[in-house]
Amino acid sequence: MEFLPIIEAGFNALKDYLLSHTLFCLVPAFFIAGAMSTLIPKGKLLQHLGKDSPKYKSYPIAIGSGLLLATCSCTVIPLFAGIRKGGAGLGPAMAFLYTAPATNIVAILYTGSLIGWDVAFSRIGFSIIFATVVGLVIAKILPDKQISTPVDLGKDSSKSNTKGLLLLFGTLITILFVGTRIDEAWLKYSVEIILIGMIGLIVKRYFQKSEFVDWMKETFGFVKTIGPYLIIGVFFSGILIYLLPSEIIGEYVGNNSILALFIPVAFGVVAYFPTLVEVPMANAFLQMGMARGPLMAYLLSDPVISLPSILSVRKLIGNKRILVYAGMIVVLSVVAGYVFGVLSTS
Amino acid sequence: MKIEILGSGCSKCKELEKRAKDAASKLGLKVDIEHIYDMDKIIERNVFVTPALSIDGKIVISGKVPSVDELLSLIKK
Repeated sequence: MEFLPIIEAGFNALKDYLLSHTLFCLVPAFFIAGAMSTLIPKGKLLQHLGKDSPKYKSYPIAIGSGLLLATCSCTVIPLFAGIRKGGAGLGPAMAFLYTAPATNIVAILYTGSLIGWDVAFSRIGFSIIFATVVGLVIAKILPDKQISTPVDLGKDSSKSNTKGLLLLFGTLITILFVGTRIDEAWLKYSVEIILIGMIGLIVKRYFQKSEFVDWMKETFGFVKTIGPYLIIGVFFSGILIYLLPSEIIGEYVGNNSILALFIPVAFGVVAYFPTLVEVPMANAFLQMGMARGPLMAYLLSDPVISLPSILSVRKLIGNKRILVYAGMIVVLSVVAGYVFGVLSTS
Repeated sequence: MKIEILGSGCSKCKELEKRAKDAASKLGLKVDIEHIYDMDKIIERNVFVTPALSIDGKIVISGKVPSVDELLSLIKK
């Protein structure tokens, strides 16, 4: 086999990707991720997830928090433990644990601009349903034993800055939308420049200088940690397209059968991609002829039940629950993929 | 003086531990640095956002990795 064309295919994918997605999609996404992890007061979330909060309140808040927080395990694991032991209990904690890697806003925005907004919004919708079902079922059949020493969640004294945060995130998301949706160059660039100016004003009016510095540092940190994986992921997705004949993809996952839906889920368990890399991978599969049902099943399951994620979650919830957890995600992903496949091709 | 790093062992927690050691050696102080990995113990200290740093039993930083300079001024206090 010729070796050179393979490498070339990888580089071509990378070039194509960097040219068309870096500036208007990836750069804003990194800034949004940085802002989410530094500017949103995370401790505050716990106060809405206390022991006495009713289910109809605790589940949506836990899921919403999972959606808003970026993907670092430093954030997810202690908050999970806090919700479980000091607050609303195992169910909402599980719902939070599922949403945090599966559907953080950055992954959704990235899916939307690379693959399509119907896929992105369905990904959110299904994830919310999954999180609720997983939380309720696990809390019902494998509840926590009485916790001997309940933890006091305490008071978070940090002041909230809701208005500033809403304005900031609204503008950042608009930047991303404008960059990926408007095709006319002059219009796009002039609107973007105005929006970036607005960010400057919002930061000046509503935020401290130290907050801004932390935000920039965190953004750069994300670029440094996730960037290389994205580049490698895209490179290999190009090679994959080159090597795998698209007939194979078409034959096995080109339709909406149970087998076609199950294969990408199984692939997601074995193949470990760092967070966000599942998106260019899914896009590559789509181009090679994967049907939309299996695509959705893949996106819903891969970030959650790859072996390394499963192992780290196992440490938190034990052997029995992890089996139920993983089993449910496999089944739910296949079902959701089927529904999405039927709806989006009819 | 006793400094504790609280964190499950992710990259940020390791970075914080490294910077705390740097800061301590810059000041030439004799400082005990301990890294607490056990999540139950971390939660017991009311820390829900890691990495966190405590000086003489009091949590002074939670959820971010400060620069060595910031650490220096915190330790001096």
